[in-house]
Order: sequence, then C-alpha cells, then structure tokens
Amino acid sequence: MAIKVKNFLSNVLIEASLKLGRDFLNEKIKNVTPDDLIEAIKDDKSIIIPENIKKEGIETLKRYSKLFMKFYNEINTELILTWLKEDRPDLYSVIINTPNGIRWIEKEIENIKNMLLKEIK
Amino acid sequence: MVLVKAKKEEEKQTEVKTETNIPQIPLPEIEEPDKFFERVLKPYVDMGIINKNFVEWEKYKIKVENALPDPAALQHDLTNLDSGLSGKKAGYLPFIIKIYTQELSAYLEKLKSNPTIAYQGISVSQNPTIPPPPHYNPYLHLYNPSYNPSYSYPIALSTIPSQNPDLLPTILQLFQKEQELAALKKEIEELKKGTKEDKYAEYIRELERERREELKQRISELEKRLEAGGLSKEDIKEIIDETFKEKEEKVTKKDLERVVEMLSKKIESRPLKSITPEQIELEKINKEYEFKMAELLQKKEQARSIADSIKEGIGLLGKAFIRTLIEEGGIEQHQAQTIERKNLMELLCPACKSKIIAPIDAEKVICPSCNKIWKVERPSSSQSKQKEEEEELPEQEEEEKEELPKALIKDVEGNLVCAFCGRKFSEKKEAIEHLKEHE
Repeated sequence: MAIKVKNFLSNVLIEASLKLGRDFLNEKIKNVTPDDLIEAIKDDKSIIIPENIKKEGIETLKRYSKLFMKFYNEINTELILTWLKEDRPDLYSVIINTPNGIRWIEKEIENIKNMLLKEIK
Repeated sequence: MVLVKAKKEEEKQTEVKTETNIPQIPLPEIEEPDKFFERVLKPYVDMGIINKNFVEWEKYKIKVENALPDPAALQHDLTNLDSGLSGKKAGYLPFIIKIYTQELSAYLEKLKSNPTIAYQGISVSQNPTIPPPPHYNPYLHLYNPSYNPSYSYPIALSTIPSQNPDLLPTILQLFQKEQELAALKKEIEELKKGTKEDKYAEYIRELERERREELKQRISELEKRLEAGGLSKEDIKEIIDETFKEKEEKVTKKDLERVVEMLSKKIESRPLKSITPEQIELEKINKEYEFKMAELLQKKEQARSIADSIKEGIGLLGKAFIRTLIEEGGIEQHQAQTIERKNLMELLCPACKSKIIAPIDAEKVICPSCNKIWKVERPSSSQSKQKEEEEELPEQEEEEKEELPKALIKDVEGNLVCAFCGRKFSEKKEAIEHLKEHE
C-alpha cells in the first residue's frame, strides 16, 4: 500500500514536472515562426533553446536536480513532438514535412538533455 | 417857528435813528430793487472780486421775477454761476453774504414804511434747490403782520463752528484746498489704475464695434440687392445724365458723391432676389449631379487604395495557387488551394482540411492531423511562364488605368467621363485635351 502511494506520488510529481516543462517549452518557442524553423533545420542551427534559456533552465534544474533526474528519461523526441502537435501544429507540420526535420529535433533534444545533465553533475 | 424847529428836531432824530440801525453803509432814500442790488455788490465789482456780468444777470432776474434773492439764494448763485468767486476768492463769500443780509433787511424795512412806492409788492425769492434752515427765512414777512424788524437774523454761514468772522475766509479757503487735493488724488489713483483710460477706450471700442456692425449690415443688404441683378447700364446712364444735365463746369467731388448716393438709393429700391420653382428644380438637379460625381470619385479612390494595398500585401500574405495533390499510392487527383510565401507553402489537406505547412520546394507533404502523405504536382516551366504572362496582362491594364488623369472616370460602357462637366469621350486623347480647357 505504501509502495503504491509512493509510486502514485512520484507519478504525480513527474506529471507535474512534465507539465511545467511543457509550459516552459511553449513559453520559449512562442515567438518562433515556421519560417524561422525551416531555416534553422536547413542550416542545422539551434533556435528553440537559445543561450539565455539554457542559463535559466540550469538554475531551476540545479534546484530540483533529484526531480529532474526522475523525469529525465521520460523526455524524448516523441513526447516533444506530441506536445508540439497539440500546442504548435504549425511547427510540428514544418518538422515532419522538412527533410531532416525529425533528425534535427532529436539532435536538439539530446543536446539539451546532455548539456543539462552535465551542468547538474 | 417853534413848530418848524420841532419838526426839524424830529427829522434830525429820525436821521440819527436810521444811522444807528445801519451804521456802515448809508442807505439812499428808496431805490429800485435792481439798483439796490447793484449798489450792494458794486464795491466788490469795483475791486474785481465779482464779475460785472453776474451782477447784470442778477439784475435782469430781479426785474423779470420781481423778486430779490434771499441771502441763501445769492450764496447759491455766487458759488454756482460764473460770479468770479472761485478759488481763493471764495473766501470773500461769507462777508458779502453778511453785508447783503443786513442791506436787504434794511431795504425791506424801508419799503414797508413807504406804501406809496410803486414797487412795494417786491418779494424775496428763495433758492429752490437749497431749502433754508427753519429759523432762517426772514423775508417772507412782507405778507406776515407779526414780522419783527428788530430781530437780527443769522446769516447762512452761521453754522460754521468758528464765531470769529475773520477766520471764516481762511477756513473756507483751507476747506476748498482740501477738496481740490482730494479730487486730484482721486484722479491720480484712477489714472494709475487705468480705470479712467480704460473707460474711454472701452467706450471708443464699443462705438467702433457698433459702427462696424452697422456697416456690415448695410454692405450685406446692398450685396443682396445687387444679387437681384444690380443696375443696368441704362439705369446708371439715366442717373448720370440727370446729375450733370445742367452742369457746365468741371465735375466736383460733391457731384460724384451725389451720383454714388443716387446709385445706392436705386439699388436699395430694387426688390430682393426672388427664386422661381424652375430655378429651385435646376438647383436641385445640379446639387444631385455634384453629389453623384463626388460619390463616384470617392468610390474610384477607394478601389484604387484597395488595389494598392492588395499589391503591397501580396508580398507579406503570399500568392495563392491551386495545386494538384495526389495521395501516395493512389490515382485520384485533388485540387488544393495553396499559398506560397518566402520559404514555405500552406495548403489544406484534401482529406481532413487541416493546414499543412511545408517547405516551398517540398514534393511530398504529410498532413499533421491525419498523417496522409500527398504528392504535390507542380506545373511545367512553359506552363508557368504562360501563366505569368497571363497574370501580367491585367496588371498592364491597371497601369493604363492609373495613367488616366484623376478628373476622368471610366463608365460601364467604357467611355471616359469628365468629372467637371460630365461630358463623355470615347478616346483618351480627346478627353485629355478637353481637360486642358478646364485648366
């Protein structure tokens, strides 16, 4: 029973964290247009998370490092694309229709995750 | 003899009595009232204190009214009329009045004692503006049997606090100077404040305003009458002929002024402009026509501005095309409206009508909603050129339209209409030449 409750609580925490992460992402990409995204994919540039966002994210993650480690594995390309499909269908459409779009987003997510992990450690 | 002596003694006694009554100036036996008045005031006239004209005026008044002025009336006249007793000379006034009072009393007594004199009925006129004090009106006794001549009547200035008659002139002088000073102070204050000047300036301005309004009214009236048709040449000729009919000398300013006056009179006599129903109808039609023309011009401007904005906006909004989409693995063709922008194209999924955004050069697109894959068919290069040419043609037409002057409007039949007069032209050159006439 205690384990169940613990698991439930941990799931709730993860869900809450993911919700926070989703909102954070939406906030940071609210000014990104399909045009910008196409150019970024073509030139293989990072546009979604600029330098200042990295810093802000690191500060927050350092504070909640244990929690971050729990939902670290939950964050993947599929999840991000699902969020984008729901929240920003225009960007999602660009990613799936642009050659190397999926690869670009995968790379982007992996890079960010690694960078954040390094910072926490 | 004794009787004669006794009579002489009696006469002497009466003489002594009269001398004791009025000791200063010996009175003549009985003189006429105006002469009496002149005699009393003569010393002051001779000394240059009182004007001679004033005495003459008072004499005239005595004759006309058959009444001598009482001391108060005389005092009033001396101060208010041009008697010469102004400024420092005013100091003599109390003394003169005192002497006059005494003289008048004696004169009236004399008159009473001699009923044979023709001017026995003379009365003493009072100053109507200054009511005498209740204890001071002794000369109405002529009609009052209880009159006591031995009573010494006070003079008008007896109310002055000082009992010393020598001080009176000085006091009066000081009082007058004080009054003069107060008046001067008041005037200086008014000048300092600017109230005095302002009053005059305001008055002048008001007068100017009134005059201007009058002139405006007059001009507008004349203009109205001139609108009614003014004057004909014949009218003017008639007026000029009439003015210079008997004139052989040179024309003067007065003559011209007369002509102008007559012309303005003639204009004034004309009736005001009357409007016939036909004129009203014509005016109505004109106004309607003007209104319609204005409306047309406005519409034209609106259409132009819309066209301009569309042209400018295409760069931002993108160009719209119809693209053919074929589902992967299928044969059926679908027409989809596509908007192409800088780097991307937007199209609607033929299956679920969701918006697909893809790079402009994408040959295949995936619908983000239904995940169906669509092959985008593009027209060949020759076809696209033709289309571009076709697209350019209407632009050229528009350019031609733009070249037209603003005052020319194309109607439904394709004719050019002049915005000024409404004349129609089939050829542009003609219309432009016509416009030059308006210029």
